[in-house]
Amino acid sequence: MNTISKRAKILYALVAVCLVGSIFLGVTFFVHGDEYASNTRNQHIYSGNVLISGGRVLDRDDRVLTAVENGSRVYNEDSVIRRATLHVLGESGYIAGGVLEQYSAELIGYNLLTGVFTATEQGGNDIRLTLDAELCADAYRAMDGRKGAVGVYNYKTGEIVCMVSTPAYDPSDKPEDIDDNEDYEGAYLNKFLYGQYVPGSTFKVVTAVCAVENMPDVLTRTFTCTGEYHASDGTVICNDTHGELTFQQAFNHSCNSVFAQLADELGGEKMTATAEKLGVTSSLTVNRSNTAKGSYDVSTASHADLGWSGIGQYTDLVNPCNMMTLAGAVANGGTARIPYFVDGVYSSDGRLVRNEKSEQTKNYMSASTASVIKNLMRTTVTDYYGEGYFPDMEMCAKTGTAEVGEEKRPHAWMIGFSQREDFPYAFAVVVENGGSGYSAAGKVASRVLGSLWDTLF
Amino acid sequence: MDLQLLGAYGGLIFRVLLSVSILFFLLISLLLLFNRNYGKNVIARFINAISGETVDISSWEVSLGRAKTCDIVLNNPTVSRFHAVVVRRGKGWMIFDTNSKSGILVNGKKIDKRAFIYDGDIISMGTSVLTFRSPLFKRPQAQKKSDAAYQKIPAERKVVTAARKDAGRAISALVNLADQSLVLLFAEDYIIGRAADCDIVLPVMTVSKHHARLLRQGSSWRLEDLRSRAGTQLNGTDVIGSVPLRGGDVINVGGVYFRFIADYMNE
Amino acid sequence: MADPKTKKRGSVYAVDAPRRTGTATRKKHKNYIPPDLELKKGKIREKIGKWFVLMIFLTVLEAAMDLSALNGLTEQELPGVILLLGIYFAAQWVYYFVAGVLLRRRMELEMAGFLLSNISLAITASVYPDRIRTQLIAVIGGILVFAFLTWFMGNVNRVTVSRMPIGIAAVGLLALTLVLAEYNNGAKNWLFLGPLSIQPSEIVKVAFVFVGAATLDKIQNTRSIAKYVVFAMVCVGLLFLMLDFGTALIFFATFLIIAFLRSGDIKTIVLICTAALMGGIFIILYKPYVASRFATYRHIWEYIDAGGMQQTRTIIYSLSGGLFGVGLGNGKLRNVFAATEDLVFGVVCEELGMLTAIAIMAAYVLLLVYAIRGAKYARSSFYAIAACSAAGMILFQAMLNVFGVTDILPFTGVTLPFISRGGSSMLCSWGLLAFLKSMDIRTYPKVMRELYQQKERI
Repeated sequence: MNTISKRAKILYALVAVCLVGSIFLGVTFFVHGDEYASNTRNQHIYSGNVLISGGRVLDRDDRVLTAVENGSRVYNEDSVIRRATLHVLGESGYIAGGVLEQYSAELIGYNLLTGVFTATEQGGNDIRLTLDAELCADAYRAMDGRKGAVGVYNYKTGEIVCMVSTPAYDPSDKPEDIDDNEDYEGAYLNKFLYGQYVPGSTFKVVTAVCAVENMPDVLTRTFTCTGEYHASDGTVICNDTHGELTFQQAFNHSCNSVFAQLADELGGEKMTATAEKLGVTSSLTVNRSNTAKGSYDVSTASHADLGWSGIGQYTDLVNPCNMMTLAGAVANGGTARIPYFVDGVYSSDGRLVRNEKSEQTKNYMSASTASVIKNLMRTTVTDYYGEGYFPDMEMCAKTGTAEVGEEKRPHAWMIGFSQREDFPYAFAVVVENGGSGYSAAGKVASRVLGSLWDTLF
Repeated sequence: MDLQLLGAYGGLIFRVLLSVSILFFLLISLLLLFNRNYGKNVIARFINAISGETVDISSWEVSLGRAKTCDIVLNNPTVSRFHAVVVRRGKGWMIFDTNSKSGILVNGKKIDKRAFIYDGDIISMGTSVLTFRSPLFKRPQAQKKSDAAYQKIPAERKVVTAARKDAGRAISALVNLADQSLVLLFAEDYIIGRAADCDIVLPVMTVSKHHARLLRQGSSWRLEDLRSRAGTQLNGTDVIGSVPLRGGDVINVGGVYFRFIADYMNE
Repeated sequence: MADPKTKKRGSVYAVDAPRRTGTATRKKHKNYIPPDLELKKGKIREKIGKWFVLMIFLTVLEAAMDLSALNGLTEQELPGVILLLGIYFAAQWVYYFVAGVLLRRRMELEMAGFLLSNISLAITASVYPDRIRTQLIAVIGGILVFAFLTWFMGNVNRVTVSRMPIGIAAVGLLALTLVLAEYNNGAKNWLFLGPLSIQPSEIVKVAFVFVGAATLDKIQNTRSIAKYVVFAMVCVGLLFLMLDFGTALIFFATFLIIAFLRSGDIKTIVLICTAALMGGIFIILYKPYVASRFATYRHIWEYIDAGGMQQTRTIIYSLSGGLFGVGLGNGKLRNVFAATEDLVFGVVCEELGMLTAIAIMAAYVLLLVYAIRGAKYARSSFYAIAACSAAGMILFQAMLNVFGVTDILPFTGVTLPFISRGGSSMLCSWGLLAFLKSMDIRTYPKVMRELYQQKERI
């Protein structure tokens, strides 16, 4: 072998570098293929921000919520369903957290072998949701033009059957004045997942849990409500003068004095600990979304502030989904099923491609605490509100009327669940500036759960 | 299956076939390049004039020198690290002197940078002597014609014959294998060495000042080593003391090789 | 006493003991004819059967590709395009008859080149049907350059004599470009002569290899490669001044290859690399313009519509094509700036499939492997060095292009050999291919016949 040929062998190093680089490239493509190919800049499957190829999104009864026809995106025929399901579908670039954006890769059905062929020629994959579109439409109608959020889920399986956020618009016919018109303020936000509201009296569930866990004698104590609670440095005003009450009665009547006193007695540290444990300040992972965190911060609170915080005012904020899950925890013996709304990814010929159901649970409180709270919430319905709104459902609930400033009407809240084994649903409703928790939120909840009941029985 | 989907699948199949064919074709056409069934062909040969060893040459450029990276390594201190390059160029073979210290002799004549070499040429580099063999490339007719008679005589004899005119009463001779020069020997003793007062002076560093002695004993010669540093060899064997010398023997005096011609007049 | 069987390869030991002459082994040497040659009428020639079959296969393959390229063209454009593509078929067959049949040359390199050029023509026809004429001229020009260079390098003396004038011309051309050229998208490496725009550095690439390679006597004579280092550094320096960093890097890499092949001196190479690295770092630190060009490296997704636009689109659309592509004409990458020049790898992946792209890369790698393995059969060091450097240059440039455009390496605007649209690039690619062709002595039948017609024993 001559000199040059011996030296030439060093060029195999160049070949080796090329191979290494190619393998690196191949691995990058393999690992990130779906993610990159599903980027909104890919004009094979997107036009602007709209996904124009890929599969359909279906509800639990196979109603088509959205699909691609002739290269453009179309929605359900019913305009109310369109509005009711707007947020769960999302709109790329406007409404975050929607299925169209988060499951774009699955809808497209990308694979390295045939690229976007599945999406453009074979119709991609379908996403089936756990939602009932008709129920969502009902919820939308029940909101009657008011802003807020409605969520209902099966606390035994975790399936969300209703998730509606208002205001919503018709995606097929987006209003031109959407940015200027006050009526559409907040239309881009899925308030159920990402909203943060002053909880009002629904927060008393948290305070109650804290009391039950830290004060062994609270169930047998008697309280006196004089229409206000005098803390050492301020006053908390009650919604009524209740006189002498047991703990249970105080909960049923939603007595501010008693709960402000309890919060003050328990102290900031314990209250904060309970708030954290009950998920007020943390986020839940619902399929691929992370719910907004609420807020409970009494680090600089005076005693009076602490009292206000115990009744869901001061700086308290909660997320509707987190509250619904809390209700679900109480219903389910202290351990909540984490909610989800995407059932799975299915090929265009119906085969399950990927299961998206969540088996996750989260432990909120002990079973005994849960049973106490359940009783408190049940007696609120039986002894105070009456079963009128929820006939036969054995509903357990708590309302809230959250003050949001002197010029505005308070937010109306209701959270609750049915303790019937054959109707295992928990819900949360918030009507912005709706007024009375019971009459505003309660009516919405009544209508929605009534519809749900009718579909099942 | 609707027509559009059918068309889509058809297109996919076409693209599969097309891309696979492109891969197939490129691989085939380039892998054919590697199809080299002819092995290394011997196109020339170097024969070590002293040891008779042969080195086959199958490439068109060969480097010679003492350095290990040369194609032909000459382990001889008188040879430069990168002494010469022999190339097959144009009409024949050429030898290039690549900045060697001692230069290159072709058939005894020192070359200037480059020269053509032909079948049978004797190449000397330092004290290494190689015979070049390449049957297709004989010395051109033009040169040969002028000495037609010259042709029939083997190489070493040519030199001997040329010097005959001045031979006088030379009895024997030594032929320096490196440059084919002749040392005539008369009926007396000779001292061989590097020193100026020697009878046969070899100005080579490896030769001792007084290296060896040629003794005339009656009608024969003897070779004696004078306790030289490098030693003296007769036909490969070290000479200790003195040994008899016969016609045809090859002696090595400190790296310089001679062939002994016993009867100069009659050879 | 050394035994011939145990002697080291090629060594002659002059201090061996003398032996009685005449005992050297004599090897018998018959007329040896390898299987792909045949002896006809006293002449040794190549068998031509297999090239014909391959040419047919090639024509069918190219026709299929071209037909799919016609997808999406308007009725006005069709006739012109079909005609021009037809001319390309004719050119290939003419070449085959002249070189393959008459001159009895092997056709592997040419056929690979034909196919790769056809890919560039198909893409041009599909994306810019009005520019297909220039691309065709470039391809045919390339083939002619290839043929000329192959002939030119047949004679080693011709080669040795012309190295110096070509070297001077190369430097002169680069210097002229620096003075005359106008900026074109950030680099001053273009000359505009009327309707034509050429990149002189592409022509100089061929000259660079030519000047760098040398015959063994020259290599062994000029033990120091100082003259060559100066020449190379001048070229690299001029390219740097022209702000064409990609091409400068290619020249530098090729210089390293040539320098090592010539001198075998790894220490000097390492020294030069270290100096270059330090110089490079110095420039990046003190010349912000240069640094900004590398700002998006490994951050392309953050600058998805700004500096990382071309790379992100290339990745997105390459993946969209999958292994087999979406078909010529159906791609979207073609609408991005420089799609058929710098991003053409993405266009190939998207429209012809990643399998085709793999085939193209495999072709570049095989060219280099061929050069490395073939070096020992080369007639002269010149051909071995030239072929290895040319193939190394092609692969290195391909790597810069492919890895740069997919963010594995920083983006440097170099073209993909044979595939990128562009006359100068195509001419250069075919020119470099000529070095590979000339390394193979089977290209020169006269020379080959001498080799195989030794009837006498050595």
